[in-house]
Amino acid sequence: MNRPVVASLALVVGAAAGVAAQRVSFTVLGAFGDYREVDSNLVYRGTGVAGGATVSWHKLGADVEVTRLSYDPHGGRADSSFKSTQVDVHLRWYVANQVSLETGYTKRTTDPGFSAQSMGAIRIGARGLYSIGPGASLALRGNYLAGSKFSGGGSAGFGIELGLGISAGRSDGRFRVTGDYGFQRVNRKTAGGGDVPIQQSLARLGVSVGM
Amino acid sequence: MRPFGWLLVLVLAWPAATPAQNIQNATLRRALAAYDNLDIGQAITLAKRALTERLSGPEQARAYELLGFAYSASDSLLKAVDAFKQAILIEPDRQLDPAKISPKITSSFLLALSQVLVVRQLQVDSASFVGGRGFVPIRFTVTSPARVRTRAVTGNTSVPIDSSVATGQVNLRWQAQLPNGDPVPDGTYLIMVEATAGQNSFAASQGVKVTHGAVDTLPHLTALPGYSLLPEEETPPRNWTPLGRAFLYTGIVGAGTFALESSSLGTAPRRELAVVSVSAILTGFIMSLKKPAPQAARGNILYNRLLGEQLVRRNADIVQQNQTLRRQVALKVTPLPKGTP
Repeated sequence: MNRPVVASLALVVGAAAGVAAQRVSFTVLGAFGDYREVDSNLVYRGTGVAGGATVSWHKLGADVEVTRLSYDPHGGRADSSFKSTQVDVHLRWYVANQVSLETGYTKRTTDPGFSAQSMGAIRIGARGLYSIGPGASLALRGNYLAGSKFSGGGSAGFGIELGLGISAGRSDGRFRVTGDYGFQRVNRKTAGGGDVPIQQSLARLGVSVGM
Repeated sequence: MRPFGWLLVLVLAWPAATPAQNIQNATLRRALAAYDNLDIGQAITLAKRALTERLSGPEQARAYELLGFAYSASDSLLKAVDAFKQAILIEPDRQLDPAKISPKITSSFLLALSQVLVVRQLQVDSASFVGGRGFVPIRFTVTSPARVRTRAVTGNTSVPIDSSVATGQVNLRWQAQLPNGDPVPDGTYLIMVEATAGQNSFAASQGVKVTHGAVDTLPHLTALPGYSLLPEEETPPRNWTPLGRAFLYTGIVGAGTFALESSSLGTAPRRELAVVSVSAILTGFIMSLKKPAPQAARGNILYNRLLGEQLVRRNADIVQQNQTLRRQVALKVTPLPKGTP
């Protein structure tokens, strides 16, 4: 695990320890995803695990999620598998009517390197969290990915992320079943001006324990 | 008087006579027998002789009354009135029943009553009340105008009740208080009525027992009568909003995904979106079927808080009232039988 991941986890766990009276939850999930790059001939599908921690304190909230997937080629020209480690950090400020402004970053690294693009970006957006019943909630997320960096160089003028989350369980939040869908699309342009879009769909299902 | 007139007077007078068997004095018994036998002269002679002998109070009163009857029968009005006056002075409460006694005798008796100063039919009612908030009714009759002083006496203590010039029926209210306003101490009292007119005076008395007790205090309230607490949580009616929201958000994300997918990357299988969307819609459906969670009823909470404050205020008032009540005394006044010392 690289330094940003460790730092993010340390930040959330430290915050959780410091604000024990507030809502803290830990999540363990199974994950599967679809990753595409350049064109329709470079398609990967994979499964893996994910874990995360969430802490909320008054109007502030923070999530750190680490997802590790093993992607395998799925048709086309792709011929080698790779492992992907994605770290997502979300920092939120509750505004009103269940809507929070959100920032943070996303970083995905691949192993071995250059088997797919590793990338990192700052996310800026909003999240709505709506209760649909006792102990059940729906989350809708939209982020603009800015300042993207890629292991193969180049830049992205446009990057966006959409998310849908579902959570149901005990109304006191101590135990919940959670599900999360994330769609990421980045229009990468190489230094030479070529379009090499990157797109990932990621689903995670698991449980969270609150305290 | 004609014999028929004698007979009428005697017949009408008969029911008022004291039974002869209660009379111990033989002379008086003979006088009564003579009166019964219409021997008026003999009755007067024997009654006078009996009065020179040793008689009890009631016997004396009976002897004078017999004289009054006999003198009335023999048309000696002045003597009859004098005899009745003596009888009244000995037994002030003595009464003649106008329905049974001849008007002639009754008028002599009433004339005698108006010429003497006595206090008759002194009556003290029993009463229970909180000291200072009630009274004991006292009634008596003064036969002629007089200064009437009424007081309650116990030992060396004399508590004035009333002082006024009165005649006829007098009704007083005794609050059973000392001059300083405190309730009279418990014990036995003599209600004394003294009537004075010139050289004449007369006193009557009635014993009463005054007992003290604690005044009942008010119980604390646990609820305001007529008002009840409202539920502070209300369960909203079941609705399909959760399912609707699940469809809406799933639709937004699905539409966004379709719109943002890069055409150059081919058509994605969307299994990730499908799994999470189905989970969301299923959760929304279950939540729509589920009984909604109770929600705080703000109006009811405020109402209950208001009731609680009122209850606290009312109980504080009750505490103050009870403090006052504990300082008060419940008085019970019971008249004693006549002749009780």
